Formats: sequence, structure tokens, C-alpha cells
Amino acid sequence: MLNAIELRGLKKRLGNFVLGPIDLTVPRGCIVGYIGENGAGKSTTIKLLLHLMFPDEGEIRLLGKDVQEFTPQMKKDIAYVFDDLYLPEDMTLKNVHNFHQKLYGQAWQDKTFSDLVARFNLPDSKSIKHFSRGMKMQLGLALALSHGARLLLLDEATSGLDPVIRDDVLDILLDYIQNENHTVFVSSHILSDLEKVADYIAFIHKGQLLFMETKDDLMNQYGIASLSEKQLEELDDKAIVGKRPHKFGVEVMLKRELVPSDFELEKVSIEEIMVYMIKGKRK
Amino acid sequence: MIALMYKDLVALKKALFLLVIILFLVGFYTMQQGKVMALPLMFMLVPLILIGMLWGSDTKSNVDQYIIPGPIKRRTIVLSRYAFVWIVAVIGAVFAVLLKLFAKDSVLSEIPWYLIAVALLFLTTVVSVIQLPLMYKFGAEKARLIFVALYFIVFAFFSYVGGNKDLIIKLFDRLILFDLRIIGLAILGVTFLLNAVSFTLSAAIYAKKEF
Repeated sequence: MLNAIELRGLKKRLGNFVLGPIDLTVPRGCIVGYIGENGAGKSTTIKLLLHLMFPDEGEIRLLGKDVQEFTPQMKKDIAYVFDDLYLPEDMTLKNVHNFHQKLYGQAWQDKTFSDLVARFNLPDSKSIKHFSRGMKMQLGLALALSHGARLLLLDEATSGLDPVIRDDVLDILLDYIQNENHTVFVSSHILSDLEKVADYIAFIHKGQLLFMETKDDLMNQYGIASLSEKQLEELDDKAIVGKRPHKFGVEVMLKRELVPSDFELEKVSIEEIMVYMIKGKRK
Repeated sequence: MIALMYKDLVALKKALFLLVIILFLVGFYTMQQGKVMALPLMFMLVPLILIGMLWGSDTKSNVDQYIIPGPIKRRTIVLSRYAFVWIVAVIGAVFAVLLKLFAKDSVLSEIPWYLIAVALLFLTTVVSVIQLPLMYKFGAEKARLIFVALYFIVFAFFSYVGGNKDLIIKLFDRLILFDLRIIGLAILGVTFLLNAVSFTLSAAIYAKKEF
């Protein structure tokens, strides 16, 4: 099966920060949530995917092709939305439309764009400097989805948006993924959103990919329990992923397979997995 | 590239409109003062101003980050910048030749049309072709300092030409001893060479640039 993204030994040094080496395979037809702290390397990874940065080592393949060999025609298969709409702010919606029509040529889908603009109710004559952040992101998404791309990359595109607009964006991502040839790779801080839509979660910490697993496996793999210090001491150290002390004892995130089966564990969220893994490691 | 030029024109439409009005006013004033020769030389400033404005607009909107992953080569993005300079240069050259044909200026009337044309192509592109690789290499902040220095050079040139019209005529009298067609070809060759080297340098710098 053709993979949407393949990273092999990807490494990038930026001052003191080193991303990788990262090995990652994203199968076609899924939504991958790429999570991690600020400065973990999420945006750097996406910039490397988009050839805005060049790797020091390793290989990047998108839709089966090495990104270094991408022709303008192949690039039409990749869509992207950043945390802001990087277009001249004096442009109106009509100008933006004309620009993309000329840029993407025959791949441009007028009807898709018009439908999305109508769905988002974006103003036709206002220049984009008067657009709210939400409107800019909606326009960015409409542009990204209007040239028949098979891979959609989003870098913190939903941060700072209100819950209603975020929900709209998630609906659109779910619509997009209905086509089995489509893949979404989304970096986000808003983990509750990823919990709703992602099939896989990839977790990057200090430039290292800690895991990429299906969301369901991940959530079944861990659990949370509130224990006394004595109960904690009785547990296998390897079972403890992270812990947070409180007044009555300690709250711990545990690996389910390493604790006794009669042990009662609460369901864990992606946010808790991320927080416990980072904070737990610090402690 | 048409898409990029469209984007640039839209981004600068207000500034371009203002620039055209200013050029008309300055042109009208120089005509009234009987300094017709200064008119085509104004085209030297236009690419400088245009590139400055485009660079500012692109830096502000961070548009490179948006267009590089798009269906376009980095080389074409650089080419679209140079295309503006070349379009202005051709308009300047045509304008100067028309001025020679229709306006009665003693200096212009003595120079063959093809020499005026190639001189304008050279003069309107020379500063920009030095400026552009520096801008791609050092970025917007340092480029502003380079801008200031280049403006001084251009203004110094204008002042020199304005105050030494006789010197220009003398120089022309000496040059007239040579075959002017060969001189014209030499200027054209140097202009092409400078532009080609500058574009190659800019494209090479931009190809390695990270965003």
C-alpha cells in the first residue's frame, strides 16, 4: 500500500536543537495528530515535509516520491494550512481566488472553493487584513482543499480559533478523509480536537518521536489511578509512566499490561498521556 | 509566473497608482523646465522603488513560506522579481526612443535611437541587478541599509549628470569616433551579462534559503 508520508532517519540541527533522527510512516487514508510541547519540533517537521527547510540527514517521501524530486505538477497533490494565512493583506477574496486559479491552473476546482466560501460565509470584497483569525483559517482551508490534493498538512491551523469554527474545521477534515486516497497530517496543541478526529497519534518530545500509534490502542494502553504512597511502592516501576502528587496520595498514569488485571484504572485522554509523559519524565 | 506577478500587482496596486502619479508630476515639471533628458532617467528609480515595495510587502505577509510549497519552482519565484525590473527597463527604453523622436532635446537628438535604448536598458537594470542578490543573501533588515547606500549612489549620479551635461556631450563626442553600433552592442552585451549573472546568483541563493 502506498504510504502518504515516509520519513527515514530524518535529522535537522537548528542551533542547540536537534530534530530526529525520525523514522515515521503515515499510511494513506488516515488522519494523524502530531502532538508535542512548544519547541518540540512539530513545525520544523512540517517545514521539512514542505521543503521549506532542508534535512541534514535522512529521506522524506510524500505520496511515494522523494520531496527533492517534486515537480510543480506533483506539488499540486500536497495542500497545507499554516497557523496564519501568509498572503498580502491587501488582497480580497476575489484576488486570492484569481491568484490560486492562475497558480494551480487546471487542478483548481472553482466549485469546491465557492462551496466552501459559501459554507464559511466569507466576505467577497473585504481585504483579508480585515478578516478575523477564524476567517483567515477558513479561507486557508478552503484554498487548501480546492486543488484536488491527496495530502493535507496542517500546522497549528486550529489554534486560537473558537470552538464553533474548530468544530467546522474538524467536520471538513472528516469529509475530506472520506476519500480513501486522502490523508491528513495535523499538528495541534488542542488535543481534544485530535481525540475527535485522529486515527493515529504521533508524539514528539525534544526533537525525538516517542511513538506513533493508533488513537484507540494508545488510549487502551494507558490508564490513570489515584493511589496512596504505599500502593505506589507495590507497583512495578516499569508500569509507571508519570505521576502527580496530591493531598491524599498520588495520581499515576500506568501501563495497563504491567499492572494486575484487577487493578482499577480510569480512561485516559490524549492530553493526559502527553502531560504525564512529559511531566512524569521530568520528575 | 503570471500568478506571482498578479499577486505582486494586487499587493502593490495603491502604491503603484501613487508612483505613476508622482512620475507624471515629476515628468511634467522636468518638461516645463526644459530638462527632457532627465525624463527617461527617472526610469532608473522605478525598479528600485518597486523592488523595495515588493520586498516589504512579501516580508510583511511572509508570502514566500506560502508559495514555495506550491506548484512553482523557487527559480520562477526569483524570475518574477527580475521580470518586474525587465518590464520597467523595456518601457523606459521605448519611452526614451519615443522622446528622442518627438521631443526636441539637443542632447537626445544627437544620440542614435539604438544607443538610447540600450543605455536605458543598462541604466534601469544596473542598480537592481546589484541590489537583488544582496537582498536575497542578507534579508530585509540588512537590505534596508543597502537600499540607503544605493539611493545615495543613484542621486549622486543624477546630480552629476545634471551638473555636467557638457561632460556627457564631450564623452559622447569621443565615443562618436568609434562605431556607435558596436558601442551599442557592447552595452547590450554587458547589460545581458550583468542580468544573467545577477539572476543566476539570486536563484542559487534562494534555492538554498530556509524558511
